[in-house]
Amino acid sequence: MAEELPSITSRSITFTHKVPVLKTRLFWEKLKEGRVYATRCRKCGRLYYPPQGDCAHCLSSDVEWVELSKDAVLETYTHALQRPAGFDGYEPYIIAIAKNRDGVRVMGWLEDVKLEDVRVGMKLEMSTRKLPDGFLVITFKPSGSR
Amino acid sequence: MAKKVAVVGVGHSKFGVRSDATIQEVAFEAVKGVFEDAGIRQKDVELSVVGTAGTRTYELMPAVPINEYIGLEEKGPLRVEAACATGSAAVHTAYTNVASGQVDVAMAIGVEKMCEVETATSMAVGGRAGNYLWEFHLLGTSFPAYYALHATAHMAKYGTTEEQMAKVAVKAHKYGAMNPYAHFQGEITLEKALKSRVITWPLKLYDCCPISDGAAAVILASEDNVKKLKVEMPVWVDAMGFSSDTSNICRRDDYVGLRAAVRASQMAYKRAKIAPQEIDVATVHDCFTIAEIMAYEDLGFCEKGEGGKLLDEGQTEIGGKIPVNVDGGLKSKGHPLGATGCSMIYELTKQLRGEAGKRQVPLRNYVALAHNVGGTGHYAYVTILRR
Repeated sequence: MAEELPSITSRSITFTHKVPVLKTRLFWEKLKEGRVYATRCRKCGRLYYPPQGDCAHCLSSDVEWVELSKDAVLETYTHALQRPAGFDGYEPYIIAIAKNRDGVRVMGWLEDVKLEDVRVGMKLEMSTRKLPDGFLVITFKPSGSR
Repeated sequence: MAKKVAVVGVGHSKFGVRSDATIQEVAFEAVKGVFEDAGIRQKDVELSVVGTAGTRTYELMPAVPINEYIGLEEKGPLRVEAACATGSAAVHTAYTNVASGQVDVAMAIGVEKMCEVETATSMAVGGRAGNYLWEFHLLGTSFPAYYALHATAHMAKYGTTEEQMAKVAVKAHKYGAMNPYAHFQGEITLEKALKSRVITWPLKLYDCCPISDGAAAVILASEDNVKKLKVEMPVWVDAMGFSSDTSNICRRDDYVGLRAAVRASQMAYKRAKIAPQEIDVATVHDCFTIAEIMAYEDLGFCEKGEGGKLLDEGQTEIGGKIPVNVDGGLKSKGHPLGATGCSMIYELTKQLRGEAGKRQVPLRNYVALAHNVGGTGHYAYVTILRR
């Protein structure tokens, strides 16, 4: 082991932000019910997921909330063994992207399946789950599983 | 009418865990090198562009402290950030300033200190490279995870294998061992790469570039000044292409390539009026091994889905059809975010001048290409150089 080189410790700084969710409040509330919502522009009909309260296409801020279909197909995934700070207290999780019947891609944790049984193209059912620390995650499980 | 712009000097620091030096001190090494190479000094530089992502440093507004330390306190600085493509964004800013006639001589300095914080903290910073609220906050993405999503999709669609990805790492380490500036200086075997621990499946340790500190610098000058400064062997910037993409990865059409890189390369090829087959040597953004395979395809070095085959045939080694990352690439040389884009220009300038020593590629057309991606295809810059 090489000798540690001289250093001094910096003054620490911690950021914890208050993230405004006024325009996306419904998304966060519906997560508690196991539902995932997108927004649709009432003027031009464009669908936004993740949801946004302003339409970049026609510049309207008149948007409506639409619930996304729970039926989805797995497009890709990764088994996250090395987790970032803030997530290292959880068991390793599978991050997946699935495309649902509305043609919208959603990222979530793929659960209730063995890693070796996961296949790109498999049918999934979307839901949400509250973690022990209170944070909510979007989840997928294989269609038809309990 | 835009002016012709040339690279008239390049400088490079040692890449690695640089706990021996602050960000300014590492930057100084590259700046000393670039001045010695160009044979000019601070008084000749009209604009300083500092590229640093600055996401892991105690110096939250680092451009001015860096600029002061290198003696350019009156010359800008313009601070630019484009995630992992920050160095190319700095070169692009310097380039457009010279090409437009705003200044005649500009320096792009790319620098990053990444190893002063813990790895878990670094992972949490990298995991925020997409869109914090909808990705990291909800699902704990990490930067390797984003590229792992691409690797899984590429494997599923084209049959690309973990072994083909490992071949990128083996090649990178082979050339990194010949590059005195590289973070890693040792060769590895295919078996070692394949047996390394899983970071985020299907990516293993040797599929990932290291976390590194380092700096590189480039001086650009207009055609008139190339003569005035008596530059013996200018390397011309034929074209720079750029593009970008959505922050949210869910808003992309597929995960088997990077649209921003395709668009940036098409812009660069069109502006330089060349085809991919004319390129003698390339540096591509191999932050993860799958990224190099996608780069081959996005840049048109092979057909879509055949990147793995190019590796099997050894076509991207010295002596192959298109040598790629013969400086060790991000994988072995290291990837200090702000420095990488400038480091690519360093390597290609040395190659085009015929000064790359053991790693020199044969030159036929005297044309080279740099491909630098920021985030997971969030930014892309493609630069074409010609001697």
